[in-house]
Amino acid sequence: MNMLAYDLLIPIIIAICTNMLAMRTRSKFASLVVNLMAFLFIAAICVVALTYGQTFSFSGFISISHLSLLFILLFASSFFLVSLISYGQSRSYTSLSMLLWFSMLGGSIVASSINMMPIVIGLELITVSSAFMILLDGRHRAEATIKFFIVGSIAASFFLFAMALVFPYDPSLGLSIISGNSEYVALAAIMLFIAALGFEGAIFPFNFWVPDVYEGAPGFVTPVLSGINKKVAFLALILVLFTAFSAYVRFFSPLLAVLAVVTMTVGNLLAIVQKRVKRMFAYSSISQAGYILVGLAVGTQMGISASIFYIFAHALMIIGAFAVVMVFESANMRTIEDYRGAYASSPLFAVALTILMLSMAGIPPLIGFFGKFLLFSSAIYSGVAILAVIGIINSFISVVYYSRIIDVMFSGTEKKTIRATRTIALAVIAIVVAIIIFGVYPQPLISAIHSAVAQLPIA
Amino acid sequence: MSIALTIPIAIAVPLICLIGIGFTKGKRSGSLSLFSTGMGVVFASIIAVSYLASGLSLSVSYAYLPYVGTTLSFGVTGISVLMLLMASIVLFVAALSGNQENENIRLSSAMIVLFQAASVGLFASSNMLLFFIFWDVGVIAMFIMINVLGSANRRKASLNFIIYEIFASSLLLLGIMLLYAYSPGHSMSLTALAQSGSLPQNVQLAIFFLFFMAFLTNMPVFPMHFWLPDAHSEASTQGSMLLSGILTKFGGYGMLLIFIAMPISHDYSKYVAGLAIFSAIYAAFVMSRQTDIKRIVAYTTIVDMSIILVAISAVSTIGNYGAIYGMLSHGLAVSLLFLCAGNVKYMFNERNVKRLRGIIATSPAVTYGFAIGMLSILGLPLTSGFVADLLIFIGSVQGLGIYALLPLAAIALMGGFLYLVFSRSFLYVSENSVPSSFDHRAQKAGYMILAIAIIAFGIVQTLLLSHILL
Repeated sequence: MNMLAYDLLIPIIIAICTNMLAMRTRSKFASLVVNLMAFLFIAAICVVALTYGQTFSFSGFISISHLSLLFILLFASSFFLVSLISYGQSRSYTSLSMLLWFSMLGGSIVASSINMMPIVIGLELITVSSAFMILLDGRHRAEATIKFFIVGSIAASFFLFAMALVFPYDPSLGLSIISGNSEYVALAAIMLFIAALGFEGAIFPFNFWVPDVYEGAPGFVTPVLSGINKKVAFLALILVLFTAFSAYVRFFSPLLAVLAVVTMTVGNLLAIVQKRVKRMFAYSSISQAGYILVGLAVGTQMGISASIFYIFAHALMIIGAFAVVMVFESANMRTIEDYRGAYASSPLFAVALTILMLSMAGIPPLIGFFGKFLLFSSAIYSGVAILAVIGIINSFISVVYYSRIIDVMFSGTEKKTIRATRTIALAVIAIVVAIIIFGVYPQPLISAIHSAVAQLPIA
Repeated sequence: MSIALTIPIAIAVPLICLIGIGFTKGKRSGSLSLFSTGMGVVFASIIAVSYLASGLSLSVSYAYLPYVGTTLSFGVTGISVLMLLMASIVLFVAALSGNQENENIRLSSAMIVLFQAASVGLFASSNMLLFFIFWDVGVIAMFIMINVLGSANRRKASLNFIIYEIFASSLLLLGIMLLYAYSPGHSMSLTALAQSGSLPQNVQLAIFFLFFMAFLTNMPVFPMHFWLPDAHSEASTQGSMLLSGILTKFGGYGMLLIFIAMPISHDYSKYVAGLAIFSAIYAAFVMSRQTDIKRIVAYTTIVDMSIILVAISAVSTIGNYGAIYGMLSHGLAVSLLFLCAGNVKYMFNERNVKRLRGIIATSPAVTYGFAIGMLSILGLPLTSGFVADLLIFIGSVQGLGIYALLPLAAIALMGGFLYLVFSRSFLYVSENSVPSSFDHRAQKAGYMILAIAIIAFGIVQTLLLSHILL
């Protein structure tokens, strides 16, 4: 019996229960305070455990490794940022907080699972609560909700079917290395897993739902979808592929490489032609999923560390970017042309968005640059230089559409009234500071990820 | 305290001032940028004096990213000491007298100090990753400078600029990653670049080609120069001074580094020289069709940087001296010319040299400034340009033979055209243009500092060069 899992579980449960109570009294501030306390508690536990702890296991399904702690820390920070962003924006903030903590529970279960069963449960927890989050602000969100829910269900059914294929090899469904006689069944299972998680992670052929849902969702739920749900999917992909199927790396890494190339290229090319900023960020977040896949396609310890680093970086960047987009949207700025004069209206958010976009484009010394540097150099290191070349061409393309927005934001002097609560400004400033600090000195994050990945059974 | 610590301090001071500018407004941020660039001159002088006195290169190194095999290492060698001096003087003058319109002082001062940190870091870094980081920071600062502070056509010019520059930096990054993956010990330091002769032939070739294209775009030389005229002519006065005075030297400095460090570059020196000679003559011809005074000055940058590339590709010691001195001299002279051109535009609201007449009658200071800058670019003795041209052509002839003298034709053409412009627009006094305002004391101080620097570097060259070790 281990205390750490309870230490992490208890604040989440308490947060869910107190948010339920807050729902009855409709007290938004109480709910914010609860979120803050629970976040601080979880963050403290994670940091302490990462610094001093070893690996802990818990009843055969859950095992809290360094990797899980890192991801729980990421999810907790992301959810807390989202709760800061949505404070004062959402009409039913208390319910939203409760759903956020349900998602957090799902994310933590996925992060610490050593079995496929909890992964499915965690993913479903997240999907269902995200669907409710989209619907929370009114009936007019129904289309996006239904779309998202259907896609989530399809993904879940793919996942379950893949598990059924694995079942004959390993009835316990544990994430231990599978090696059987029939490679074809294993390969079919791998493809189904990639498809299932590709829906959530918005990898190329499964990305059709992304722009509509991101645009249809309320401004404060889009960061959840792109900053957290997507990252959980990639985490699940890493866990499944590089533990259970690590004997088949040579089969699936070419597949992942092709998906990476297609995903980033398609995302980038479609992002260029978008008129609406939110859709543009949706497509750019698809292309960023392609970059994350580069590291998985390389499949070495270096590549996976780089991918995880980029997952962290992208979670921060995209949450910040969608937060700023939400702020501008509240002043009826939707298309790129509407962004004219953004710097004159609100220097803080315009500069923040500039820094976030530069980071996404991979300009040093911001966190996105180091992510891309690690990813592409791991590709060159393992002899697949072509992935690095295509990746760099893609980041070059992305500069085209990011610089267009920067150009528009800084031109024009017409002032628009932009109303933003202090909490949003706080969240955006925190993200920008984190991006700059981890961009200038990424060593602590890199070494933590590196030692966490060293525990995975990768060749 | 060792002198080498001056280098990290010289990078930290502008960054601290940048944060300070974030909390100040208007005039006060202008004085912060002046303080920062002034300290830059002091630091560069300390570094230069201690280097010239001891002859030992300064270096300092801290642990940074052990996982990526990178240390935070800075070093000042003979090449970078002159670049640092030049950059700090140009930055100081730009902060002092570049913003005559007094518009957007806060943003322009912020970008100046950011660019200061980038240029000091770039010239002092002894690691390719740091070099790249500072390179991109400089490019972004310059992009915002052109985009926000430039003149009417600035948006197209700035997008053109950023696309070319990010293309260059993508190639540079790819080259650095190749160096990192293949060099023994996985290092990105300049020593690893110097030992690249032991790498496989095709890797060496790939690294050289990627770096070469990146630096060629930045310098800029013929096929990659299309961003330059627009960017220079549309940027604000400060922007064009820093752009042509310092940012184009990033590429020249990098080019010099790879030609010194990578033995494979010697196999291609003849082709590079041919390209550079063509570029110089081509740019001189294109220049002679221009009517916009800022575009004219912009094309002198292409001519001069092409001539510097000829000297670099000659791979001879004197040629390298010439390239360094040429970059120093050109940085000072062209920023003086841009300062004058920007002030002419500000005073007369006119950039077309066909309509500018008799500037000397109303504003002699700008005329003398333009004259000194022009004469230095054309290589008048006692200006720094003379030393530079002399060394460049001696070195090039040593390395490449008599054909290396062909760019002299470009200089002659450029000289003739500049003289024509100067005599008609500045000296011709029968029908004077009427200024709407006059240059202030700050601008006159700017001309004076740059003119004194040009003449001083023309006189003390022997002192400097005898101490510089490559």
